[in-house]
Amino acid sequence: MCQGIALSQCEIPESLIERYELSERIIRRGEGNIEFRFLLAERFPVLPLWHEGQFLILSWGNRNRHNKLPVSAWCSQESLEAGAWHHLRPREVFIPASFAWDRGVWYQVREGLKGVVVKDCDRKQHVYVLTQPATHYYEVMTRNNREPVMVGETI
Amino acid sequence: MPISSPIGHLDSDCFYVSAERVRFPCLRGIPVGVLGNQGACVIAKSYELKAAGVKTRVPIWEARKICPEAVFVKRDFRWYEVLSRKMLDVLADVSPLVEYYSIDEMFFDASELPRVFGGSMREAALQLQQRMLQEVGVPVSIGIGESKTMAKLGSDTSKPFGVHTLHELTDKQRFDYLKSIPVGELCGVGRRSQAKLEQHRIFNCLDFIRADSKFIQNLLTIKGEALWYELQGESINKIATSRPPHKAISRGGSLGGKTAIAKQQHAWAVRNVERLIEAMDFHGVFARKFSLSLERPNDYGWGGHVVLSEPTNSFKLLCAVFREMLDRSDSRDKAISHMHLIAEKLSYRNEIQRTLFETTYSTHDGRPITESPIDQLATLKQQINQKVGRFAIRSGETLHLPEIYADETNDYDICDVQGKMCF
Repeated sequence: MCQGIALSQCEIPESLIERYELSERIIRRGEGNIEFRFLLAERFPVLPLWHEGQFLILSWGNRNRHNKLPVSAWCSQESLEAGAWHHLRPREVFIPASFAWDRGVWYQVREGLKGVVVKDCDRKQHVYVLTQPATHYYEVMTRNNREPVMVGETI
Repeated sequence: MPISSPIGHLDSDCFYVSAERVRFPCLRGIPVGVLGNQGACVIAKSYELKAAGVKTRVPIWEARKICPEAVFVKRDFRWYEVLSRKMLDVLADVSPLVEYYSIDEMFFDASELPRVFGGSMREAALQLQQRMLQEVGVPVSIGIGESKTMAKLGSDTSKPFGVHTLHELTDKQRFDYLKSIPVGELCGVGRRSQAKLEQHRIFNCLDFIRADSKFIQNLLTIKGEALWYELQGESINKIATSRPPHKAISRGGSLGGKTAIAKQQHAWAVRNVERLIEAMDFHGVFARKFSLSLERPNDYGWGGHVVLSEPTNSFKLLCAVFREMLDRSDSRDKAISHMHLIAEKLSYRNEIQRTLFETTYSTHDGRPITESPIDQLATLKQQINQKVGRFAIRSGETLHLPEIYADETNDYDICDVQGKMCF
């Protein structure tokens, strides 16, 4: 699965960096460009996403057992297709990412990941990363048997 | 010493990583490792990853511990070939003779460089380096010398992004330079040869050229002697603009993990037959001898061969031949991790008279397989694949490999880059 993403500076409009106070997420990897990191291990994990032309930053998954949302950070594509999320009216969104992190391995993402957004009982929006069974390649690379659904590529 | 044209050697700096950086600039300046066909091992690394202590062929689970900030990228040989061909085009524009040595290395006749770019040889080589960076986007190192060996030494010792013009050195500079290079760095001197040389107190390239040429020949055969002359500045190995004819053509490799499922094993055999025929078509050859080699984890491997009465490239016949060998290998219920198909006893198609009639091959159990000299279906498949893309049309027997076909980067391997001199 995916436990973190990093987004190159050029992927985020300058005005949004201030609005969402993203400067505290800035990391410079080696001599490379500035990137913004979003990790699941954070106290209040969030993810950036594009939905209907808007750039948003929403809570990543759900840790609250009382708001009727699945307690997870991921949504399996099989369960979505089987209708298990239907009652939550999920909307598919695009999670921009330059790199993703899984079990200690950073790997390149060409465009981004797919996710779904749902609302809890307080109408607060949460984003879940869409996942699918890992390919042999991905499983060898990360030792994880699930991988995120990526836009325009499969690892 | 005979006067010959200066030879250039152009070597890309961490080519696979540089190629990825051309299309994904966010990879610049950070530690990057390119992973091989299985996603398990680092097959190429950036200088940043090298500086962190990660070596080539290290498994990813070790590499990530050594450099937790490293970013790993899946290999894409099709893209690497696109850039490699662009590099060849740039070189062919400035040199009358270019040898496609490997996907990221080229030898060339450097005599025209000063005239094309103006200035000294060194200035011209620096301009060529800039042009390569601007037009292809890949940083290269260039060595110029009197021989291929000297040119390659020059580029090797000027990395990264350097230029070394060895043919302009004075005798003293040349001796100092050769003295600074361990003999094991020479292309063609492996560990065994190095050990042999060191037993005779030949430790560096200067020691090597100061030894007697016949002594070197006795120690390292005529290939070693050729190296001796090349290091003296005499060009023995000429720039080859076309590859010498193959003695054998092989296709295969890893099965993307191990499999004991008979349908998948057969599917891999058929897929590799398609690749083998494609390579035979490229080289314009038929083959008469076909070998199959299987690797089984925790078990002895298996090898077998079949010699046919007529040379062929028939898909139907070769499928039958390899399927029969697979059955004979008794691999059912035994996991196979690697499979190699080898075609030998090659004949150029324009040099043989083929029969006008159907030929029959009998399998091990006496089953006849008939080959028609005109296989319209195979011809149609070949034409469509040439036009639309590899594996666009493929045998239905390979349908048992959905994961392999779901990922286009599996369609292309390093050996599918045709025309280069070595792997």
